Amino acid sequence: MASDDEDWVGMARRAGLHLALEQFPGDVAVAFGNAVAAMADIVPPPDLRAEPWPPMRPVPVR
Amino acid sequence: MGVAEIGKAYADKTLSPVELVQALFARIDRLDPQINAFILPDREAALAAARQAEAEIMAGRSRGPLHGIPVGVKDIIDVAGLPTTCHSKILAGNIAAADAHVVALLRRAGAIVMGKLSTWEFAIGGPSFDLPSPPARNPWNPAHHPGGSSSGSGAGLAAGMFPLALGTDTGGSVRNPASACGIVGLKPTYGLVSRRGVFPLSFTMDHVGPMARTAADAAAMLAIIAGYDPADPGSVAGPVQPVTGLDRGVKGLRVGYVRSFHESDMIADPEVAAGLDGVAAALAGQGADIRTVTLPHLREFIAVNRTIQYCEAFAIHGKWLRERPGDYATATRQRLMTGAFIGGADYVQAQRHRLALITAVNTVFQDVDVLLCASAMDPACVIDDQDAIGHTFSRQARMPFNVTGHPALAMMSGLSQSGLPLSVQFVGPAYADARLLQVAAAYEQIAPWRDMRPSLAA
Repeated sequence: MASDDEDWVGMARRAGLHLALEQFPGDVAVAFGNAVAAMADIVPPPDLRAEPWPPMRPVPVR
Repeated sequence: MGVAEIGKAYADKTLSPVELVQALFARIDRLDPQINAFILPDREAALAAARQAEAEIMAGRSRGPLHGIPVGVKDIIDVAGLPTTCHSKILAGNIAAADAHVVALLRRAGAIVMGKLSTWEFAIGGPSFDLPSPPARNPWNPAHHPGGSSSGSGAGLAAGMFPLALGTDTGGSVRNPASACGIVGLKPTYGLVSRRGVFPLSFTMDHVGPMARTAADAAAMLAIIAGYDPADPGSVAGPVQPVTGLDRGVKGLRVGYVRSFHESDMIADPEVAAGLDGVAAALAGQGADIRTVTLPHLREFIAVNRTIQYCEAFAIHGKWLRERPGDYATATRQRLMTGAFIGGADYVQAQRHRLALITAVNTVFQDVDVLLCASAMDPACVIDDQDAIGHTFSRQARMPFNVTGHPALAMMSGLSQSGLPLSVQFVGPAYADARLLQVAAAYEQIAPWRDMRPSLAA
């Protein structure tokens, strides 16, 4: 996660959002803020080996 | 009229499908200029389907409870030959080649598709005025929003334009309009209803659900659309629980009241809180055993929902956001670009956190049969007040059950002083969808507001 303006502009460029940066820079900034806010309350599991969900479920081919 | 009433009138030959469809389109012509529930009414096809239903019913070839029943379809769900625009310039002219699986099931059961209904853009935006069509409005007061994203479904039902509608729900989008418009909206258990032919927002959390004016009508629709679909990777194989027993009542049912959601995690509007207490008291009066239970803080569920939703939505929309950002409404663009700033490890952490939340909810269900909690923390605000929209947008307790996949139903709990619906949410263990409809049906029977309708719809 980027920590300052320079980083988020760089992230937006790496994501290919050049046109959005040019035409809607305020919206790109809002999107960055949304991401920071969303992730702030994610709690990684205390067990570092915990599986994400759902696990892969291979389906047998008939 | 409800589904059973219509079916009886057809059987008694006091009403025909053609008469009903004509009457509903007359109503749509009168009310929709104020409500904007429809993006595209499909009058000719609906009348043709009504004529076919009429001939079959008259010949004694009934296809079941939904034969000749009009249905509205949210415009992110494919109806063969009609545009699926997702209420967006991005998909202008996108004609669906085939029916979504749920639409095909409804048609096979004899339901009549009335047309495509308004939605928030790509089911994520918000009430926007910079879209090809105006946003739907709330029939209880057209100055207010009707909830979303299945906004046309909720508004059209409350306005009496059709008895059934299809909605979709990734962060609460069936239950939000159900709450705002005073109707019944069920987000079924994840995997119970196929999403094939429905434009995705978040593969992990997308659901398709029935919306209706009563629990019995929602049950009738669920009975048709539930079932395994091998072409939907999220569909769950296994026997579908029968949607029966709606008249069993709530005597002896253990109801876990999640007060923490609206009393400490987010402080609800006092009228909403009083409405929830009223529902708990009413169910207790019918013999339910009400117990206070606690779930993890709402902010955890919301963080997981948003992190996963933003990432998956950006994976879907990235190409268009790079090439045509100006073709999205402002609110949609801001939300959809968010996924560009969330890394792969953060997404995986959200998925791991999700498992912890699923486990926490399942643990509570070891001691109770159903949960009672808030849906919306506020009545619907004025539609064109961006500050109020921004303030109330997140003030809800629906996202938890998109994160966990448990079935959840929202319905009216009363009316505010200002005449807008208040709401309650019931949540069940996985695949206990019928139990939620049973509780909703029991509450409907004793709810003092049960016969109230918007004055616009009178």
